[in-house]
Amino acid sequence: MTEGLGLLVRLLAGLLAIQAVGYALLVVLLPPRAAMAPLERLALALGLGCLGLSLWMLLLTCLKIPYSLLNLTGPWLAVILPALWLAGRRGWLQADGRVVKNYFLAMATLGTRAGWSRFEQACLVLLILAFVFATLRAMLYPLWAWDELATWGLKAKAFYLARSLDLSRIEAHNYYPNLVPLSLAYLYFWLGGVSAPLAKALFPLCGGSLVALFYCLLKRLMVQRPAALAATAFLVLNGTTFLSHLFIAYADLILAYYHLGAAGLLYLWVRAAAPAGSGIIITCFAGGMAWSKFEGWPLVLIMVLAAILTLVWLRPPGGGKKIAAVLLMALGGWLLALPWRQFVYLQGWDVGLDHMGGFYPEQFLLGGWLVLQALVWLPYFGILWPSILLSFILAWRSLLNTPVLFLALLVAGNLAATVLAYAIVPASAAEFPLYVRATVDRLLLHAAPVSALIFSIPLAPGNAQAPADRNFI
Amino acid sequence: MQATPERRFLAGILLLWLLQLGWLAWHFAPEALDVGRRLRHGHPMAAGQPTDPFDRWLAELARVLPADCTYILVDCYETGNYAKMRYVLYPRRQIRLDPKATPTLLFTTIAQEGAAFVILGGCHLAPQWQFIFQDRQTVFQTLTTAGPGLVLSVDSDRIIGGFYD
Repeated sequence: MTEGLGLLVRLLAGLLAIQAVGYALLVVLLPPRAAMAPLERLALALGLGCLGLSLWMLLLTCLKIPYSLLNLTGPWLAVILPALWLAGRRGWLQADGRVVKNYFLAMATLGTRAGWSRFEQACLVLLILAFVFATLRAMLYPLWAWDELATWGLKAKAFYLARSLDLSRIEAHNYYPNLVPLSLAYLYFWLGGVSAPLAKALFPLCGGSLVALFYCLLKRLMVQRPAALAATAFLVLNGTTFLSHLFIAYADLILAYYHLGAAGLLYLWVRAAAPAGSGIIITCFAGGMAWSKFEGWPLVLIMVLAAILTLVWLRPPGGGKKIAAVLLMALGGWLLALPWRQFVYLQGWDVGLDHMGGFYPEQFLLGGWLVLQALVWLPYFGILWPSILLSFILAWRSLLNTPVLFLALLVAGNLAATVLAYAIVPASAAEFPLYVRATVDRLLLHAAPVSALIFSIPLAPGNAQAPADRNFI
Repeated sequence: MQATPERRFLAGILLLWLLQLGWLAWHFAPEALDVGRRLRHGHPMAAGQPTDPFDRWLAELARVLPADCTYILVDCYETGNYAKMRYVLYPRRQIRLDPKATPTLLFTTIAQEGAAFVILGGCHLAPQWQFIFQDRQTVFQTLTTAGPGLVLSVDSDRIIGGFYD
């Protein structure tokens, strides 16, 4: 029992260390006038923490320095301590502390002390139930799902045991990006061993950050608290896909989180309503997308293309400068993923041969049909995707003359890319439908949270055109 | 209150979602009950204890096989057992062979990869694999491990190369 409690304390310390690194990076990267809500800062910290620590681990491998808790965490104190001092001076630390306390109180009392309505309380109860179940489901079971055994969990174990990013004893899509296995391995160093069930707590935490970010983005899109809470519960509790990814060690939830952060802030930016400093966060999260999954970089390109097309179509003042800024963000994201690309190149690994053959028209048609089926297949996403598509239909008046066009292009681009990915995958005719069914829910998950931002249209009618915010960068 | 298209849309969605929530609760109910059982019986750190025969066999293999060895797993890809075995037995290196592979390929792989063990999974072996069970052969020795598969140690000194089909 004592040993178990000790492990839980170590796990909490590890998760806290990731959050602390991310929070410190956020303080360093954001300008003092960045008007981000405390909940936004806490939600973004996890992504920056995983990104910073995993890139640091890659650097240690390149420098041939073996991993240890001291090597992995010690140098970050030089960032964390001054950042905390700076955050204190800006008043962020106090505000964030108060908010954390208030949110815990709100959850503990189900919002009664804060005067929440019954409807809000019901939404909060649903969210709490979902996350309690997912956290226990993650931590009470060993690794069991295919990709956590075959890829992500295996690599995490390999990195921990080798004390390095060493793939010499396995062949498991070695060119895949490693943000997730490195983050798990980092937790193993805190736990003092390969304790996969406990390290899986990273995934409910990631889901929690995603959900908090989604809620904050909806609030920024002028959705009132009850509706934003309901939409958040609607996102989490629709079909089995999102809920399942809260307790399995796959990289898809983390990619969906980075995608939401990058594309959500970019949407606000296109609306000229993003908080100051969003550009650097978009850049970092684009890097996180490319460094968490092989599909991440294509998603960055779709996001950038959607933003550029929107700006070209709407011709806002200073459109040329804005397009240049979007390209700069994409370049920054690419640079963050560059060390891994260079590492793969130096190792001489083939990239993508297992996922890219030629273009097969019959797979394009069948894949398109199966993706359409998956969008309305209740066990995958419940009524989430039909609701997203209906919301776009409701928003048709604002599609071509407001920044909602960005969201429409983003969703269309993601669906088209999914079908295209199926058209080029080397698979036999008999195997192809099975391959699609085994992967389509995950591919749709990458875009589901950011696509669900379209709910801001029916939930806050008239918000399609937001007031300008000149605080960008 | 005016029934705008947005309000009608939201009311319809809310109703459908509530129905869907019922289905979701029904879907996850067995897992939630199992989570409750696990919480009642033992603390969370006991979660990794193997329960089924394959997992118990893997735990025994992890005890028997040296950590730096290479082993050849002869099993059908479709069983999916290779992924779990590779994970549990890591850092031991796994080389996978199809049960339809020729003896020549087996010997070549042993020689090239320096494999010290051959593990026969539960999958049906092609007839040419019967040579491995002949009394007169001296390369493979059966290890006594209780489980759904068979583990053979390899005397690689007896494999001198020059394999022909």
